[in-house]
Amino acid sequence: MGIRRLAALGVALAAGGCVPQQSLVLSSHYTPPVSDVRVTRVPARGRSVCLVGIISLKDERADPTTLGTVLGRPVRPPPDVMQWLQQIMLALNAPGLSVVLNDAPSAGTRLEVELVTAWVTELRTAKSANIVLRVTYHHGDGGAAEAPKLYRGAASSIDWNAGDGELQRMIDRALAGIVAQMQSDLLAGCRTNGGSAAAAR
Amino acid sequence: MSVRREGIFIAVLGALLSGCVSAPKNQSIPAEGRSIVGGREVQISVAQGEIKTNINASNMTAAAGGGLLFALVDAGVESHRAGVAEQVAKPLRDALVGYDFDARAQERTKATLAELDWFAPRDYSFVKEINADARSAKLDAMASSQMAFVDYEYSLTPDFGAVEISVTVSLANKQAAPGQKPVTRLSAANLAYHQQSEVLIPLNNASKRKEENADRWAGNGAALAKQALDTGLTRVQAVIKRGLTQSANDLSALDQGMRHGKPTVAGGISGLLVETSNAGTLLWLGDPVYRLVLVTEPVG
Repeated sequence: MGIRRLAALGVALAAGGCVPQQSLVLSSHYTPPVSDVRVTRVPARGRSVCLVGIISLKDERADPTTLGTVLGRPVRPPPDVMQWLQQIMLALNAPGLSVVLNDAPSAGTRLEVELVTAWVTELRTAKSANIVLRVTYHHGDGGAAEAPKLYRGAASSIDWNAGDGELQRMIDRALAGIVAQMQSDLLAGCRTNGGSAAAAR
Repeated sequence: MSVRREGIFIAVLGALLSGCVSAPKNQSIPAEGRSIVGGREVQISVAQGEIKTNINASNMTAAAGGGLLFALVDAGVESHRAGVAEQVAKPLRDALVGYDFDARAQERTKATLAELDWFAPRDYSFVKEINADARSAKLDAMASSQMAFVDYEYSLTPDFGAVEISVTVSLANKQAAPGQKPVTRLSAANLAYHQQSEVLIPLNNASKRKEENADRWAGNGAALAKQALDTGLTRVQAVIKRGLTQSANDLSALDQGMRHGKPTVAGGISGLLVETSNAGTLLWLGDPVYRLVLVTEPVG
């Protein structure tokens, strides 16, 4: 590992001549990868949808300034991490689910969401991303909180040249995994808890 | 190191005859270089969010004697292996959420360096990213004439049969070599000291299947993984200390032994046997990695 790190540092020194390698700042806008957009079954007309309220969004990462480096290139979080997290939560909206970014009293399900970790790394000629959210569910009016659940999104791909597009897409693919898992759990929870509160569109 | 990165590395070496990068040779601190007026600032890093995975290299390009097509095949194979390793590691990583490796690494490092009076550590800082420019700026801003960088890495072997903790200690001078750019203070050739230490903690009766090993590491709230990481962090301190206090004669003896002695294999690693103790088997890996590796008793 030491030689790889030395090589990466060497590449950084050489490529840059000692000119700094521009860091990538991730976009605050979460864009689901086209291949990962899932077709969710549309509920029949007249069926209710589940209203989900986001009670809180917190960034609990050990270092909020970095996601790591790929080929010596620093990868930075979006300038507004809260906006990024809100975008991810809004991506949960799907047929059968209506997500609002506040503690809606009428919401059948309310969530506390913490960003636990988000990091990128290299594995030889591949790169990977891991993002973990810790989510606490509250069901029903004044319902007790469930034990927090971890949602992990992971993605890996060939490390071409640590370009903007490939790094952003990898992060978005990891997020898509989290969104899909959460949608599935929310829909199942709504069915179980009868947590429907909003009229069908 | 992958064929691709090896290629890049060699190209860089060739291109930069000025010596931005070269194999590390400065692995002992001469007696006269130990004490520094004003002491040393120390920056500790753990440049990862969670335990890392490792994969075996795909060597089709090397086997075929080169070629872009084979390099692409290698990249595809390694990407697939990375995806599998990352998938298999998920339960272990989830079980390790809340285990604060970073805090433990800082605590142990401070205790170790405090034991070396001459080192005179001062003004500790901690970062999650290794960045040459940021480090160079840190050297510019520091009050001392020399800074210590202690870089930790923890990972699983490709078969998930062992946990590895690797620590690289580097001493960089504030003053750049005459005629060289400030950032070259961090190149291996210009460092006052550069040594990598590693501890390998095997899983007892590890399976050949990484899925089974991952399950064992993750079971019971990752109890075995936490035990291995705690053990590794403790044991690696003695190796760090040994590296910092070894003399040029010690190194010369190790290199001689490496050339003429019979290698010992421990934990799948072949090297010169330095010693065996309750801590485990200490090996010296000479040229080109120049690394001290301690293989401990298995856990589990």
